[in-house]
Amino acid sequence: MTDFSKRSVIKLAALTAIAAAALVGCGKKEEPKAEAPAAAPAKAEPLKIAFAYVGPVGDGGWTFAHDNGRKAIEKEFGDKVVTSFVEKVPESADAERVIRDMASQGNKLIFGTTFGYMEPMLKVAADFKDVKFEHATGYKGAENMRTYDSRTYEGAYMAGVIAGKMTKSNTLGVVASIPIPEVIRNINSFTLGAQSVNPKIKTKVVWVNEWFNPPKETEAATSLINGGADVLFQNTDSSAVLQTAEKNGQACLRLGQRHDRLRPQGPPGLGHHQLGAVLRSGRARGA
Amino acid sequence: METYALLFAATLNAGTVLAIAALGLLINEKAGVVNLGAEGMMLCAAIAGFAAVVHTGNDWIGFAAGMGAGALLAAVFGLLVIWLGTNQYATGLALSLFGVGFSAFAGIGYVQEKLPERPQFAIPGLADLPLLGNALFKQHPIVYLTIALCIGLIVWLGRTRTGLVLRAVGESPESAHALGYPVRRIRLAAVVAGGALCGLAGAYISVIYTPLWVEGMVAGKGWIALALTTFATWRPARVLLGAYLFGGVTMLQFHLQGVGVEVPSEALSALPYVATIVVLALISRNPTWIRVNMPASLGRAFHPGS
Repeated sequence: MTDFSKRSVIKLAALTAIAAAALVGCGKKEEPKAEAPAAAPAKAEPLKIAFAYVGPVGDGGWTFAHDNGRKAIEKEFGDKVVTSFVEKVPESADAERVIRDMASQGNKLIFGTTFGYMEPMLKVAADFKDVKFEHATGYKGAENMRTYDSRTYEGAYMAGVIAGKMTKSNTLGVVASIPIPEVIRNINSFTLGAQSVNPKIKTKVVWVNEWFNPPKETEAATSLINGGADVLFQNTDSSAVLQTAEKNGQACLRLGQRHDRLRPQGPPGLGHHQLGAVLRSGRARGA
Repeated sequence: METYALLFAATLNAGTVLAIAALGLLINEKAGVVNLGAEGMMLCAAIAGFAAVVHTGNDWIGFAAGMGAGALLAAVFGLLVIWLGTNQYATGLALSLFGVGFSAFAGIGYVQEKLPERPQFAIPGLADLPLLGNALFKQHPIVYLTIALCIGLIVWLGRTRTGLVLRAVGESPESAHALGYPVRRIRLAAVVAGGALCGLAGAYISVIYTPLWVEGMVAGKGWIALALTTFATWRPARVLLGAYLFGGVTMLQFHLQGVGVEVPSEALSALPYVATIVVLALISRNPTWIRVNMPASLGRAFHPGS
């Protein structure tokens, strides 16, 4: 008796759900027909945009800059967009789950802000053809997925020029994160820039193999300074290298947002330069 | 040669964080309680210490705040585990997760804050020695305190009555209870002391080692300290050795990368872990030795009257 009633309850629930969906579907179809004659829809649905971050918003670096970009979108487009984000999404199968979730929740524009989301995003893009995917610093795309990046190599070249002129020991140090094409490009640009003004320089590169690990970045910076580098360049995500450089009276350059609070406190003649390569990655094109 | 002196100095600095945390956990585990919440405690202490220094400008108040935060969390853990008898491993993990999240939340306003300029330390006279000066005598006082702490622990655990009582509680709480010692209160004291030391390590990271705050900045050092205590078979001298070895090989692998050694950087990144495990396992490979050194009641709850 119990089994029979359970089954009939489930059947009833399923029928109700289908009926409700059909009603809703019918309702939705009527709206566009009514609106089509109008010149422009006065109240279009706001565009739902979602961001997947690899690190914490509070990292003071890459993810922080992306989140500032997101807030810039909200400020610029106001009511026409609704943004959301998920932070600390690891670059693994978990990323696929999160991004798939975002797509199913009605987000029509999804930003994946790190190289490691490339494969998961490709998979999700294949399943959600009506959603647009923007992937940072990658090299694979699809019909509905494109790659975006900022011309960080230009900023890196300028940083190299400054470093080449500032260095007295002719040894430059780079604290690098993970060897993906974009990072290698930045390091090479930096070196080329420095060589263009000072052919004698040598660049020492140390790989931390993580985007974000402040104690390890500090150790890497210390070992570079101990090895004779007097200007540092960082490609990792936190402000640890900047702090270490300052503690030792060295100069450090990084790409990223302005750090008004981190004033130079080294000996006169050395300072910190925050380059204007601010990551305005938040501009949704044609949204 | 100068580079090696600087490398040695960096090793001492890098190993100090692990050493303090691991010695604190050692006190915990000698009393028979495993506190897996090291990472959470260190993170909460890091934000507490950082915030204290931002508001007062005094490093020592920062360290005290860190120790206080660590002790407080450890006390909560201790009450749950010792009096309510919850599973030590699960509770410790819960504490760790809580600490990670809470510190991130509490630290939201401090991300772009900066501390006043960090002082440089040097022991007058000794710091001017040609190589040894750079290698040994230009460290923050806490580095020297760590070595003193280790020596103090060896003496206290091995040669004093109170140290003996602590070890007894860890080996056989039933016997200690039969002798009339307040086993649960002693365990709580050990847990709180261990938490305070983990807190000191956390505060050291955010105030001296990497003077900034970003969430998750301890980046796994709490877990490494936990493993270190076990691999060092609960002997303070070996804990110190393991901590300095880990810190030293970390600095060495960066130095090797900088010099241009043709080994993939990923392999070099794994080197500290491999080296520490191999060395400590070799030192302690006698199984009887391990059994003798491990506190017999580690991880087991104690109920008087049962």
